[in-house]
Amino acid sequence: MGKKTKEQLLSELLVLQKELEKKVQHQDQMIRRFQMLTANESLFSQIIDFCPYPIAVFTPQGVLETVNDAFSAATGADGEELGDRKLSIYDCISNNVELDSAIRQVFAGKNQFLDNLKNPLTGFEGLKKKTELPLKGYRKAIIFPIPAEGGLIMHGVAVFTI
Amino acid sequence: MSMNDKDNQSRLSDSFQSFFNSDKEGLLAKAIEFFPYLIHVFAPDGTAVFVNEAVLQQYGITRALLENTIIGKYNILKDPTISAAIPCSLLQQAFQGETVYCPDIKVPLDTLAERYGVQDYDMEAMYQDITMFSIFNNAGKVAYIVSIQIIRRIYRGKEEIERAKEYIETHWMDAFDVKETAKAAGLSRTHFSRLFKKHTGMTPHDYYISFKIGRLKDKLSDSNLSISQAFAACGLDYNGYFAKVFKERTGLSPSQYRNKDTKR
Repeated sequence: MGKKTKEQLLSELLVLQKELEKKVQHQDQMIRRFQMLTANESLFSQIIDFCPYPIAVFTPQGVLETVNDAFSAATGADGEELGDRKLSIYDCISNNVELDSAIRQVFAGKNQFLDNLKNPLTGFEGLKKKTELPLKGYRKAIIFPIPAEGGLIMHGVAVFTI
Repeated sequence: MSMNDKDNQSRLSDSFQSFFNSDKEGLLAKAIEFFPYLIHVFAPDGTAVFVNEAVLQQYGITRALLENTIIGKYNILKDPTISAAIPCSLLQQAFQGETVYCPDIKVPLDTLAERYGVQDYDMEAMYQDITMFSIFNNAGKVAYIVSIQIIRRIYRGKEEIERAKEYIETHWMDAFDVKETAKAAGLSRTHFSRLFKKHTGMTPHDYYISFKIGRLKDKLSDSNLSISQAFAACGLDYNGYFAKVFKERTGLSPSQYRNKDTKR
């Protein structure tokens, strides 16, 4: 094998530098997140739990991972029991094509904003156990992905607003 | 870097990763971080405690600015622009623990641009629906006040962007030429690309490709044309790279798209 030219060495060095920069950037991002998390410990779950709008976090298979108090109050879905029940959001919204499609598209990495929805939570009525609160009034939905490290989307979030 | 260092780094990275992926608090932290609209959290005395990523992006706030002038420093109750935009009684109610909904509030963009040292937000006006609610501590007292701001309307009205769109839509059969498009908009190439993306959410080239795909879809829906003819009618070669671009963008090959379309 012959000796490498100065240009080849330089270009290899550039590739190496770029890789290192990428790694440092990734590490910085992780450190920043961790700092944010420790600085605001428990604040994030409180924001979600106290939020007056129903919020659901679900996996690509549609399994409801967690819901907030407003979601539980509106539908009866118990956040504590969700893990055992493996409840699918797709089963609950099968009558709402627009919402179903938006939720699926979230896993392609796109934010979805739906307006003029008609009672998007009625599909969850089967879950009703404790409450008879009206499900009406929610006309908008914000659905967005939560990417994991490496860009893979492991969760989606749906927020229903008025 | 030695193998040991590398192993340690990799183990550390895995631990962080599993922490953020599995821990509920980590998951919810990410839900707040990636929430596409603005979230502010205030202490009961009005001081800013936390803002999410969308706030930084929307208002062009740098990390340094966030740490030096906002967190622990900015006070919503002492901000005259806020009391001018949100009725005082509503703000008081929110800080007393009530959930308050303020629809269609005009954002004081000029004040924000001046405060954050942003030259131009590239929009004429923005209106938000603001919901404020409290987080209570175990003693039932207000611990934090959260404000969620959902953008309802944005007025941009940049003439230059409209001119560029018009140029692309007139010359969509030609090869894409960013220089000519920028010239039609009356802007420099770099400024044009940045401005176009800000206003439309896509690059000029993406806009050109999307427009071209839209035209190709129209032609593919015409059953009188073969797929090759539909491509030719758009100045494209069915055997060229655009068939691949079409599949990447729509998730369907041109023939799959036609089959699906005719079944409707």
